[in-house]
Amino acid sequence: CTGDFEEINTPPTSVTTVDPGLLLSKVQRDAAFAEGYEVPNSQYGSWIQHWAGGVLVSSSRYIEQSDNNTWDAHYTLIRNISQIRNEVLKGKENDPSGRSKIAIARIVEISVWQRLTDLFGDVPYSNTALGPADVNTKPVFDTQESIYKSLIADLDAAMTQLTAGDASYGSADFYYKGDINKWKKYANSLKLRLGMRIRYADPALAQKTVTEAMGQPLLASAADDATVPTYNNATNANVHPVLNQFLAGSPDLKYLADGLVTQLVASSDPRLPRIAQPSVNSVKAGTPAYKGIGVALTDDLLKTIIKDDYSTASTLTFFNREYSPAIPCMVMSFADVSFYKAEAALEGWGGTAADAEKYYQDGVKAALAQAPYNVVTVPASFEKELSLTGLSKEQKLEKIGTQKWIQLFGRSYEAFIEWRRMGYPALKPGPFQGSTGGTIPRRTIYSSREALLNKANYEQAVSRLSNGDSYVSKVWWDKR
Amino acid sequence: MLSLCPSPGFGQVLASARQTETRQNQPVRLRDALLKLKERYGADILFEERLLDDFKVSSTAVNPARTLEQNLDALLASTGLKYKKIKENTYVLLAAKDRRKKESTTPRETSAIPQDNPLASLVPVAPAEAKEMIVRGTVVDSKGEALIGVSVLVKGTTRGTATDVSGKYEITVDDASAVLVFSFVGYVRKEVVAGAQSEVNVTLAEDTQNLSEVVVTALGIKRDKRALGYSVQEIGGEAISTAKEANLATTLAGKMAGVQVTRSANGAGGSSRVVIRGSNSLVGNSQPLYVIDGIPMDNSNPNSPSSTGGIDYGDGISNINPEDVESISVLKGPNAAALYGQRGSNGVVLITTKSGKSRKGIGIKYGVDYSVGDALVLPDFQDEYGQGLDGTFTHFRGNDGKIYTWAAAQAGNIPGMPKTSGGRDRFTRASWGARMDGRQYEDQWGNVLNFSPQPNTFQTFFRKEKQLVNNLSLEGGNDNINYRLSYGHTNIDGYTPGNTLKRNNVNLRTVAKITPKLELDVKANYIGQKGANRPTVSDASDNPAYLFISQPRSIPMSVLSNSAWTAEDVAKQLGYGTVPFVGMEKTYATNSSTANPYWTVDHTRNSDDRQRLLGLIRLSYQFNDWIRLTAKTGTDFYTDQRLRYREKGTYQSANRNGDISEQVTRVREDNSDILLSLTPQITKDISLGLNLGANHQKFYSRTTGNTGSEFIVPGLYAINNTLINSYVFGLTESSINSVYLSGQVGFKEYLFLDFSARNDWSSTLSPQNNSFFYPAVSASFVLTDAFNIQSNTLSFLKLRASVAQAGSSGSPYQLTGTYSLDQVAHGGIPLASFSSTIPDPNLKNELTTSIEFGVEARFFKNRAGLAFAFYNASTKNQILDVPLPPSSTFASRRINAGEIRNRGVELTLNGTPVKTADGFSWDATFNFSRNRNQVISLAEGVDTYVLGTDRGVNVVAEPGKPFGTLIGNGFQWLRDDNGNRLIDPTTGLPLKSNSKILYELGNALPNWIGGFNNTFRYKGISLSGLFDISQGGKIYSQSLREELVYGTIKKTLPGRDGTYVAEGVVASKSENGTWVGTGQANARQVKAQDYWNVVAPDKDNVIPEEMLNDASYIMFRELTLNYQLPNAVVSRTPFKGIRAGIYGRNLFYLQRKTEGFAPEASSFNVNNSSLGLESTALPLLRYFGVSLNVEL
Repeated sequence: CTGDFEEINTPPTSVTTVDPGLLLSKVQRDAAFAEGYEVPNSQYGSWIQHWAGGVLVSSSRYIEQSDNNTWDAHYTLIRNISQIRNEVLKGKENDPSGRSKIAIARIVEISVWQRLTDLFGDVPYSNTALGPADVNTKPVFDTQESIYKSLIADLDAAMTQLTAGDASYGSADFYYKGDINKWKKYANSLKLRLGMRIRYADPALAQKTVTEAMGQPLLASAADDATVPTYNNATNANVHPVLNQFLAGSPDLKYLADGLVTQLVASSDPRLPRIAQPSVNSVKAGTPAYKGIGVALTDDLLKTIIKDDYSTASTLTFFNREYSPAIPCMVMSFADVSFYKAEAALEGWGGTAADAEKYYQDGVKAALAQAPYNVVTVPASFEKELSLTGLSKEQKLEKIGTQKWIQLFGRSYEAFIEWRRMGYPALKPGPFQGSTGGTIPRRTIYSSREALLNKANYEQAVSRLSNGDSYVSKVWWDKR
Repeated sequence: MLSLCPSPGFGQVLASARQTETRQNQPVRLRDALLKLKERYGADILFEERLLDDFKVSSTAVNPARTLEQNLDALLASTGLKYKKIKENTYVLLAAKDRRKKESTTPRETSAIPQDNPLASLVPVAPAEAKEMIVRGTVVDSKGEALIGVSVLVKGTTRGTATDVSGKYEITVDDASAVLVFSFVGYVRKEVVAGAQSEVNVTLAEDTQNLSEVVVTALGIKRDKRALGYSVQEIGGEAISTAKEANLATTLAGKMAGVQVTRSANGAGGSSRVVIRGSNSLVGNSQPLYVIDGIPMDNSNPNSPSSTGGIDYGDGISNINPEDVESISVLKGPNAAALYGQRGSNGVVLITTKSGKSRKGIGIKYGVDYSVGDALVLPDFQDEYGQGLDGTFTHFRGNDGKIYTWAAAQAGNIPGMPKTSGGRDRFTRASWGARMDGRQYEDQWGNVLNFSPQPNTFQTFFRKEKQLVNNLSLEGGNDNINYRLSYGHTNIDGYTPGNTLKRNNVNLRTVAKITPKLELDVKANYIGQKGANRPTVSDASDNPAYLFISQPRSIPMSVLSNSAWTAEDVAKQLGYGTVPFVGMEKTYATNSSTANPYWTVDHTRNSDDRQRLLGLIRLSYQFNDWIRLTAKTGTDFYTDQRLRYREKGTYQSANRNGDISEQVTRVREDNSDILLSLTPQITKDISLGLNLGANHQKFYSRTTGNTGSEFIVPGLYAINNTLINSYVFGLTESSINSVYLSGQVGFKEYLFLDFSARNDWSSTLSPQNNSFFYPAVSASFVLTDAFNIQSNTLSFLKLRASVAQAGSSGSPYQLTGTYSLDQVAHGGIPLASFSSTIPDPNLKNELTTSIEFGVEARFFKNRAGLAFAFYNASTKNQILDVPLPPSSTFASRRINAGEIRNRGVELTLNGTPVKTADGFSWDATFNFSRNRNQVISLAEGVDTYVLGTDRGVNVVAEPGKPFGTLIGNGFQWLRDDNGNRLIDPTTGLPLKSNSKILYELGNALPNWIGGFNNTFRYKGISLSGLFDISQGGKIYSQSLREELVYGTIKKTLPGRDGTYVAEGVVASKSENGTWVGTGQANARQVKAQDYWNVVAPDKDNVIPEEMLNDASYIMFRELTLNYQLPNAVVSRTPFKGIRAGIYGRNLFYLQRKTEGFAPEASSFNVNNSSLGLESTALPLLRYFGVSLNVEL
C-alpha cells in the first residue's frame, strides 16, 4: 500500500513550473531595490560620501568586511532570471512565443552581471548560471575583461532576438509593460553603459561598442526610463528602499555625508531640500541649515558628534511615507544615458565635442526633473552648473561626473561604480585609517562563503588582484 | 527467585524463563506444576514442601489461557489444599484444616498471631527430631516499614512462608544451624542463620540493581537484562518524580551513560535536547524517537528560536506529566532500536506510563509539589563606572539649556551638569564613563539623577519562578479489569514577569480481559497547556536578559520602568534623532536591536494553547500458551494555537506601529501495528521467541495563520486592524509502511542470541529508492552461569556484542525543485523564485551501521556492579544539503553524501559501600561516557559544512575533525613564534590581523560526560544527591562580547585609570614591514577601555578567541530528601501512606569555567545550529521545592 506515496510527497505550497513573468518581476524588483537599502547606502553610499555611515557599519570606516550579501543577492538574481532560458522557456529560443521573452530576460541578466563584476572584479561567469541539472559546483572566476567582452557579445545577440510582435511579458514587466521597442532602446543604452565602463581599460572595444550604441535608438526621454514602481502604506518590501531605510532602519544610519550636502549647498542645487533635511538643532535655533557628517571619522571625532546638529535625508520626500506619488525606483534613466552621450561626444564616439554640452544639459535637466525633485525650471542660481563652456576636457568630465554623482543619490552601487570609473568628483577620504590606510575603497571583498566553498578558484582570482582580496585592489577597468 | 510483575502487554511471554516441563500428558508432581505456574505467571507461590510431597496432577492441568488463580483452583481441587493471596502476585498454600489437624502432633502456641491471619493456618508441624524449633520475627525495609509477603524459606528445603500484613512471619526450622532465606521483589535477598534465637528480625535493603534487571526493550517487550546483547538503560518512576523537572527529558541528565541532555533556558515550558551517543546527522537535531506506551510521539518544536531570536514554545516531551511515568527506558543507538527502523537511528526513549493494579477498593494517591527558582549564574557586573566614555561623560547640559559635547563644555568652562546620550554605539551607551560617585547628571531623556550604581538590574526586573504541581490518581481493579485515572495540574509563574504556564494532564488507562484470551488495553492522555508571555531568547531585543548585559550600569531600573516616551522626554532627549514620539517604547539606546524590557512584558504579548491527545487501543489475543496476536493503533494529535502581538509604539515592530500574528498548527501522527508473538517450547535448554509485525505510520502537519503589521487604531489587537496583512501556510505529510521480525533464542539461561529485521517503505523517497532493510543481531553470554562460577567476589559476568543498521529517509518534498511565490506581491504583480536547493530525485536513505561490545559484571554478592560498553557507529549517505559556493547560483545541493563516525565508551559503576544491620545503606552510582565524533567525509569537493553561524563564529563539520568545530570569524592576535601576543610599541596595545580571518577555536563537544549519584537510606528516610559532570568542550559567548564592548562586567575594571598592561611581548617592524617579537615583555600601561576596544570594538569586529569559554562543569544537580512516615504514625491518620520531601535542583557548581552564564543551559534551540553558542540565555534557575504525597 505505497500507492499514494507520490501524492503524499507532492509539495503542497509550491509548483514545479511557473510563468516566466513571475520570475522576471521578481528579478526586476529585487535588482532595482537592492542598491538603495540601508546596508549598501551605509557602505558604498558612505564611501562616495552620500551617506554618513558611521561606527555601526564598520566597512564605512574602511574596515574590511566581505560583502556576502551583495554577492549572494546577485547570484540569486542570476539564478532566477537564468531559469527562464535554462528551463522555463528552453527550446523556444526561435519561437515567437519565447524568443523575445528569453531576450528580455537575457538583457536583465546582463545588467546584473555587469553590476556584479563592477563591484568585485573577476567573478565566476562562464561556468555558472547553467541551471540545476548542469550546475557547476566549483565555477572558475573569469577575468573582468573576458566577462565584458562576453556581455557585449551576448547583448548584441539578445538585441537581434528582440522582435516586435512576439509574445512579451505584459504587466509582469515593471520597466516597459512588455513593450519590445522600449526594450530595444534599453538594451542599446545598456550597451552604451558597457562600452563607457571600459573606456580606460580597452579604449578600442569601448569606442566600437559606444559608437555602435550611439548609432541606434537610446532612451530618449524620461518616458523611456526603466523604473520599478514603489508603494507607500504597503509592506516594507514594497516601499522605496530609501523609505524602507527610514522606516525600518537604525536611527543612527539616516544621516547624510558632508560631501554631498556641501556640494548641494555650494552649488545652490534646487534638489537640496528634497534630498536633505535641515538639522534639528538649527531648526530649534530658528536658523534652518544643512550640514552633513564627515565620513570614516576617528573615534575621537565620532565622540564629538551631536547628531541633532546634522542633516538626515529629507522628510519631505525620501523619508516621507505620505509622499505622493510614491517615488519610483530608478534602474536606468534618460539622465544616465545623456551623461554617457556627453562623455562619448567629448571623445567623438558617435557624436562631436559640440554635442557634448547639449547632452550634458539634457542629463542635468532630466536629473532635476526626476522624482521626487520634479524641478522642471532650472533656477537662475543653478544655471552656471549647466554650462561646459570654456572648460578643459578634464574639467568637463569633472562636471559630468559631479552631476552624475548627485543624480545617482539613492543608487549606491551605481554611484560607487561610476565614481571609480570617472574619478570624479574628487573626494577627500575620511581621517580614519581602517584597513586601507585611509584611502577610499576601490572594490568590495569577495564573499567569505565563496572563499570557503570555492577555495582554489577564489585563490586564483585573488592572485590576479594587485593587493589581494582587499578594498584597495582595483578592478580591471578602474584606471582613474 | 525474583518474580516478574505481570504486564498487560505481550511482553512477559517472552521472559526467558527456563522451560522445565515437557509436554507429554503424563502425571507430574504437584510441586513441579506449581513451579511451572510460578514461571508462567511470574508469581510467587510459597509452600511448605512436605505439604504436597504426595500429590501428582495431570501435566495438562495447567491451562495457560486461564488466570493463575483459576489454575490454582484446578490444581488444588483434589488435594484438600487451599491457597491464600497475601499480596499482589504472592500466594501461600495452606493445608486444609482437617488435614493439618490430622498431621499435627504438637499444636504450637500461636497466641501471638491473630486468628484471622492467614499464617495462623500455616503453623508448621514439629518434626520427629527434638531440635526442631520455631522462629518468628518481623521483616522491614530500610525505612522501617513492614514488608508484606516477603518469602521466607529454609535453605535447602522448599519449606517456606511469607510475612503477613504486619511484616511478621513464623516458621519451623530443623535446628539452630538452619539458614533462613528472605527474599522479596525489589530487595536484596538476605540469608540469616537461625541460631538459637527464636526471634529473627530482618531488614531488607532495596535492590538498586533490580531496576535494571528487567527492562523494557523495543516494541515494549520486557526482557531480562541478562539476555540482551545491546545497551538499554532504564530508570524508574521514583527517580523521575522526586525532583520535579518541568520537562521530562531533562530528568535524564547525569543519570545515564552516553546520554547528553542540554536544556534550553528558554522560560517555563521550554525544550530540551537529548543526544544519545553523539550526533549522527549533520542536519536536524539527532534527537531520539520518543515512544510512549508503544506509540511514537511527535517531539518537534515548530518554529524554534534561532540565533537572532524567537520563542521556544516547548517540544512534545515537555507536555508529558512526569507523575504518570512508570519508567523510562533508553535504547541506545540502532543496536537496541533497530526494530524502529529508520526512526530508531538516533536511539529511542521508551516511556511506559502507569497502569492500574488489581486491588481491593480504590487506591487514591495525591501529591503536591511546590518549588521556587531563582537565577543561579548572573553576569559578573561591575558597579563602579557608569555610562560614558574615556572615564568621563560624553555630553553636557549647559545652564543655558544647550547641549554640548563634554570636551566643548570643559574647554569653554560652561556651567551646567553632565549629560548622557542615547545612541547605538559604544561612544554613548557604554559603561566606560566616570566613577559612579553620586554626582548629579542629566540622563538621555532629561531626568536629573544621581550617578550611582544600580547593582540589581536582573533582580529588580525578574521574579522568582514558582511552580506548583498537583497530582491526583485513582486506581483499582480486579483480575479481569484494572484502571488508572490521573489528573495532574502544573502551574508555573515564570522567571520573566508575566510568563506563565498552565498544564492539565488527564490520563486514563484501562486494561481489561474481555475473555480469558482476549485482552483490551485502552489509554487516553489529554494534555491542555496554556503558555503566556514566553520570553524571546538569544540575540534579540525583546529577550529581556539581552538588554541587561549591556545596559549602562548607571541607569536606574525605575527610569526604564516608565517604558513609554513622554512629551518631556521627547523635548529633552539626546541622541534619538527625530524618531521618538509620545507613547513610543522608550529604550536606553537607539539600537535597532534594543528594547525596553518593561515595555516588552507590558506591551508585547504572546499566548499559546496546545490541546493534545495521545490515544492508544490495543487488543491482544492469546491463542494458546505460545501464540499471541496483538493489534494496536495509536495517535498523537494536537492543535497548537499561537497569538503574538506587539502594541503600537513597539520599537522593533514594523515602522514602530505594532504587529500581530496568529497561527494554528494541527499535527497528527498515527501508528497502527499488528504483531504476532510466538514462544514455542523446543527443549529443556532452549528458549525461543519470535515476533512478526507490521506498522503503518502517517504524519500530517498543517499550519494556517495570518500576520498583520502596523495597527491602524491603537488598543485593538486583531488582524483586521492592521495596515498590511499576509498569510501563513504550511503543510507537511508523510507516511512509512513497515514489516518487521524479531527473534530471541536462549540456551540454558546463559547464552542468548537476538536478531531482528525491518523493512521500511517511506513516502519521502522515490518509488525506486523508498524501500530499505535494516537488520540487527546481538548476542549475550553469561559467563558466571555458563561456567557455574560460584564466587564471593564475582557474582555475575556477562559479555555481549551486537551489530545493527538503521537509517533515515529524510523530510518530505525534497526530490523536486520548485518555484515558490513571494508572500507579498508587488503592487498586485506576483513574484516567484526558484528554490535555492538543487534537489536529487534519486535520493536514498541514510544508513547508520553500529557495532557494540559490552561487559556487565557484579561483585561481592551483587554489592557492586560494573557495566562497560564500546560502540562504533558510522552514518553514511547522509541526506545533506551540501552547501554550494554562491557563484553556482544555488545555495546547496541535496545529495547523499558524507560519513560521520561516533565511537565511544560508556562505563557505569554502582555499589553499596555501606550497609548496616540497623537499616542504614549508602548506594552510589557513577556513570561515564566518552564519545569521539569524527566527520570522516563530506561530499566530494566539500571541505566544510556549516552547522551554525553567529556573529564572529561558525560551527562546522570538517572531514578529519570532530563534529561541532568552532571556527572564529574575526580578527586574530598577531603572535610571535612562542605564541606570545605582539604589542605595538607605540600604543602599548596588542596587534591584530589587518582583516578578518577564519581560524579554528576548538570544539563544542565535551570530552566526556558523567554523573555521580549517591543515595542514603535509613528507616523511612532517603537522601539522594546527583552530580552532573561534563568535561571539555568550548562555548562561544555572545554575551561576553556585549559585556566587553560596553564595559559592564568586572573583567573590564582593572586598569581603567590607565594602568592596564596588555600581556604580550613588545613588537617591532621588520624590514619587510611585518611585525616581529622582540622577546621583551610588554610593560606599557594603557587605559583598560583602549585595551578592550581592541578586543571587542563592536559586535562584528571582535577577536573571537577572547569570547571562548571552557564549557566544563561539575554541577550538584539534584538533592532530594524524602521521609516516609512510619506505619505507626500513618495508622493514626486517615491515610495509608504519607511521604514528605524537600529537594533542590541546580544547586551549585563544584566547577564552572564560563564567564557569567551557565555552560549547560545556554543553547537557544535544540538543533545542531546552536551547538557551542551562548547567546544571552535566560539564567539557569536554582530550584528549591517541597513535596507531599499521600495515599488513601
